[in-house]
Amino acid sequence: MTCDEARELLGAHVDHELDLRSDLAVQAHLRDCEACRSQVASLQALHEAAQAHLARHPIPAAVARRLRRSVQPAPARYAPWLTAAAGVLAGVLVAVVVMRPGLDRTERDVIAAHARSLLVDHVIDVASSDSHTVKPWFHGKVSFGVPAASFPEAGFPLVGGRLDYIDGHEVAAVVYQRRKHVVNLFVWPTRATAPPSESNEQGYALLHWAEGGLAYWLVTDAQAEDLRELQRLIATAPR
Amino acid sequence: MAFRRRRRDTTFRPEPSNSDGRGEAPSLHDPKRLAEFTAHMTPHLDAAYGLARWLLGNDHDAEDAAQDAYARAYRYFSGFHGVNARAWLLAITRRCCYALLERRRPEEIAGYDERDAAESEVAPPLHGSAPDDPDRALARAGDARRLNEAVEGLPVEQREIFVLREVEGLSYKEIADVAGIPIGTVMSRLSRARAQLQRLLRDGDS
Repeated sequence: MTCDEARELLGAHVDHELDLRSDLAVQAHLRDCEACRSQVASLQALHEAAQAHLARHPIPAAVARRLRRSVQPAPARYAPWLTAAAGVLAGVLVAVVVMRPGLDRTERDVIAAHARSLLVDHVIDVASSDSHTVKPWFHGKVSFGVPAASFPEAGFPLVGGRLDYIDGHEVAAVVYQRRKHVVNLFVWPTRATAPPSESNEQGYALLHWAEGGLAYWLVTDAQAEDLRELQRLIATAPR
Repeated sequence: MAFRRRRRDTTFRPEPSNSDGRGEAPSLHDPKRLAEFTAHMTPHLDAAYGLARWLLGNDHDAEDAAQDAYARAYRYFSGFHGVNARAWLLAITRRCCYALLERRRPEEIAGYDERDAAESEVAPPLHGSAPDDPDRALARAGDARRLNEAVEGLPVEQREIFVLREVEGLSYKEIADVAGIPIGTVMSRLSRARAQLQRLLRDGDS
């Protein structure tokens, strides 16, 4: 592979968007080419700067309210219970509408639980960035030890925990923040072990693995690579 | 550690092709429909507004575009097939932004030409005069204000791709769907945007 050929692909290499064969070819070229290595480092640095500093512009609360109201029926024409019913239905439907053939039930429930947690402002039952507060909060509520370490230096501060339901079971939900995004970690006991496996559904990134008697699911609307990083932190943290 | 990567098809059609919307006339105030719409779309309002804010450059226009997009999304909700709500809403938002630019600031979207952009691009030096320490140069590019200004200065066609990638973290395939362009074009616009940013941030250093 020549430099010119490689340079076309360096961005996609940094973004993990190359197919395996092209990526191996790029890696082989990078071993021999210092100029391209330095370009990769520079792209990586740009990416990190963008992740750290690019403005996020969340929607102002008043604008979000106005948007939501704009599609609602005029209050004069509808009985209040109808609006209330719509609210309740929204919650129920998160669980129902994400169903799609081919999506397994656990995956579906994980996405639904994540979406629900954002929708109804019910992200946390115990709010704390201290793992010594969050961990014991789960004692007596679930039958297993919940890993709830905080990783503020790595950009994943713990924000709290709550109980949730996945696949008909009560599970522990540990909540992290990644910049402006919420990351939910769902944990429950399992006998299985499974290597990390990623998927992407409805605009949410998911990462699942199982080890040491626990099944882990990470879900977020941040980036898949954020989950990979958090997975490494969790897997290597002392339990 | 080896990751198994699964990616399902996220093809979607944001709006029906006969998109005057009058043909279908669904009951807009069906509470079940409203609930379903809210459940799907509310989690992605930040994403939609954020994209509009980046494309339009001020809160006032971003608000108008977001409002327009939300109303349209509701009207065309029957065309949504439950695959990727965020990308679907972003595609509609993007279109509303372009419509607004066309009305209020046509000069910003006039005459972007892929070939012109490629030709006017001066390839960053590959050998010889490469910066002695790109890490250090770009660490200072970490200066938030300069980075944001540099991104704001990109042509809107490159800016949207860069923002969808770096802020929203969309895959190339998702970006292609949102922007309605081939993946190859996503890649070339993205690398042009990055080359331009690298140049600006480096020049600002010296």
